[in-house]
Amino acid sequence: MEIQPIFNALVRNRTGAMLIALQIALTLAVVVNAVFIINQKLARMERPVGIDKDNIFTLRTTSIDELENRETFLQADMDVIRAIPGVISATPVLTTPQGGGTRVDGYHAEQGGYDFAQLVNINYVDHMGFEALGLKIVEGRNFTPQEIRYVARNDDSVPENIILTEDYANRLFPEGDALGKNLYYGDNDRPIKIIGIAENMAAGWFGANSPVVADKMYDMVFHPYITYGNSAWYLIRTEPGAQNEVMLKVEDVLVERFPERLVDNIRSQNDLLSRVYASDKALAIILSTVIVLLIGITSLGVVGLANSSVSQRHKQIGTRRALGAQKADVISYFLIENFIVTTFGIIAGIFLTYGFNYWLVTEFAQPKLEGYYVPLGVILLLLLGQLAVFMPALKASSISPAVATRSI
Amino acid sequence: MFLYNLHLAWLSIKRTPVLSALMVSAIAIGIAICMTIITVYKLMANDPIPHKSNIIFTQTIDLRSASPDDDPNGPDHMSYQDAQNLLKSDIPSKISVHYQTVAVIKSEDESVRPFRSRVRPVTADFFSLFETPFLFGNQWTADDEDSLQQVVVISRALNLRLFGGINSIGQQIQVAGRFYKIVGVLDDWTPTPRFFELDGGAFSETEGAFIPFSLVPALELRKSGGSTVCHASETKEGWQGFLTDECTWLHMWVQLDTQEQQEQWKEHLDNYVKQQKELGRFPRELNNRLHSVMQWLEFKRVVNNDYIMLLGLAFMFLGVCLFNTVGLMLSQSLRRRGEVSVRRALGGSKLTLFYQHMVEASVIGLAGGALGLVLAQAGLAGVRSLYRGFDLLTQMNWQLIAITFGLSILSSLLAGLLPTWRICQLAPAQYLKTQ
Repeated sequence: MEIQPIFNALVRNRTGAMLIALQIALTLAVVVNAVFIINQKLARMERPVGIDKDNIFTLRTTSIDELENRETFLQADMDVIRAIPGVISATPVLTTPQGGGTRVDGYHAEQGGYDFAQLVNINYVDHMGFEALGLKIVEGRNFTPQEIRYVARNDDSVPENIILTEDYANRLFPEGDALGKNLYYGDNDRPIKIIGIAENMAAGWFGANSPVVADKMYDMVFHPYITYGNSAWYLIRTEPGAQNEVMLKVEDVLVERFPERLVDNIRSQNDLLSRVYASDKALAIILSTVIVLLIGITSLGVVGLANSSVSQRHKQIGTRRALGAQKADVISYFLIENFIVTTFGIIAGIFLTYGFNYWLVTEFAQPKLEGYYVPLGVILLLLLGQLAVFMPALKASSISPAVATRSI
Repeated sequence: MFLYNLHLAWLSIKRTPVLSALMVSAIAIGIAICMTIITVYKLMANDPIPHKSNIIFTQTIDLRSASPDDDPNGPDHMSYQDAQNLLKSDIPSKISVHYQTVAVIKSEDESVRPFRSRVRPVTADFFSLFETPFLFGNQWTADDEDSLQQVVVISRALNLRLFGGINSIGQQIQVAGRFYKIVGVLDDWTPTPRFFELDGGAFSETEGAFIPFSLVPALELRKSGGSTVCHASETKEGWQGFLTDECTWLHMWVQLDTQEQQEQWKEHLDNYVKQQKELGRFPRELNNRLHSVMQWLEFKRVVNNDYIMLLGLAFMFLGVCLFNTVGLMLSQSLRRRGEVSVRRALGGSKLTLFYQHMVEASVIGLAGGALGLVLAQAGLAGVRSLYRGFDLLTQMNWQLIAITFGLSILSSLLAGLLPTWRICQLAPAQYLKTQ
């Protein structure tokens, strides 16, 4: 309808409108980029880990004095843990799953082909390990008790038989025929046989943001090893619902078996994962707070400016009403005015939004902004503007036409 | 005049309490968000040892095997045999070789239960190089180190746990099954970032026990909380084998006081690698690097990317708050055309009026800054509860408080500039007519 006169009025009184447009522009840039980042963090936190994370917990045991026979110590510990009611299975592990610290190594499918691109996470399990992790052997077989060997903590030897996750098997043998093939380690010519392929399990570096491991999140090799430094990590899987009870009991059971020890870091896998994701979650919360505050402040700005423009144009509005304008005409005047201002803000904001994203892409190798983020942000801000201006517009529409006939 | 203007500002704020409150809170929220992020950022990018960060260096020498590996940067750490060989040099004023391990600590007092603690084998120079503050006693001597004395320096926290905080010099504790005599107790020492060892987290506390590095071959204490990378395909058996392997795991820092020393040290490193090449080690091309403290922190990207990103967003946020305040001030000044016109008509110069309104703007800014400071503390408490191990990063110091007020006054002055200028341009006659 009457866009031209509204536009002309805006141009004559442009400072306030420009301030609002600038706020809208910045708000669009911040909100869209923040939501984009939040969504990436949420997607990261929802990645599957493969193992039965809801029913797994880990603990660390440290002997106060030097142990005489570490192998029998580990086996005796396993026996008492596995006998606790509610425990499905348990295994000593090299490190906590997805806990960060881990052994990294490289295998290759051809003799002598040394290649760091085949970087893989190594974990140790005994014959009960896969049951404890809640991983199925998809092809081939599990380790037998006779295959399990005790190794020193810093021993980086390799076994004769290994089991791989599906992802790593497919990386080395893209044809999908990994089972029964041989792998090689370093310059060593000794073949290592793939006896089984297990379901994917998230690697120790699952929480890392490094591009080096970005596509290797499920690359893992299992060695039939148990180990003990001056401490050992145990992984215990319980029946659903029994975890808390077993977690409370396990320290007493272990100390009763062997008193000269410290048991600590008893943590459920979900607790551990929440630590892994602590900074992602924190960033999401900080950004959400920023978004809420920002939208609040921008709306207040729109309301404030509309209010002051209503009181400034008090007489003018009365005159219009006296000349026959309906209440609806007055309201729509303000709505259209706001629409024009917001649109200018949004046009500037779109440039700013992509500019900020471009900075993130070039400086921090963040993903490129695409999809529905910008259109949604635009719609949100248009609605927000209309909503914010509605109350002042309603107030303006109730100005009596009689105002026109009074002197100021 | 200033006091009079302050009085006028107060009157004007009282006259429009809602508008003034809105302005103050817009600035306060903008400042609070900005300062929360700036505080964490500033401390992440902090120079941990400002008076000597340009004369302390760490070096990397590239002993990787010749296999293809695209990374142009060599390993971050030093192997045991290279560290031993380089320790012999007398070019640096001080050399510190160290790493972190974990061991069970036992007190002779039966009532203190044994516990796990960080233990850091260090060369004697560690303490003077990094200027660790001593609460009691002192570091061990080079002689103690050479004669393999079992001596220990403990952190304040450890002293509190083991001895209730008393002077424990001369007492004995058991570390990983061996007895050590306490020669020193450190005072609180929290270089932020913990530049001398970034492995276990750049912002963790420094605590635990420090023992002579010369004992390492006898102790078999594995490194914990950091990376150990072995570069040869064959590794030798046992701890002694590990020490002679091509495995990088040790931190090594040197103090080079003069330009001349720095040149000499670079040359020494080059010569060392060339000499080792003749023995069949170091298959790659010469790739030695020397990093000063700040170069090292930058190279290791200690400042979290998330935080640089947040900093950008925070400044845009402050921008919104600023434009908001300009808008509010503008509408406030429109209401005061009458008053301003009277003042102008009575002989007030534009300059006087400008001054008056800028004082008012800075009062708003100051109030916004004060409120912002309070809100920023809440923000920092929030950040502290969200991140583990950020305690050191979420404490404001005087410098940051000064930045807060500086930023808020600057913001309010900037915001006040346009409205004030406009009101000074008024032709008074127009607004005096009808009154």
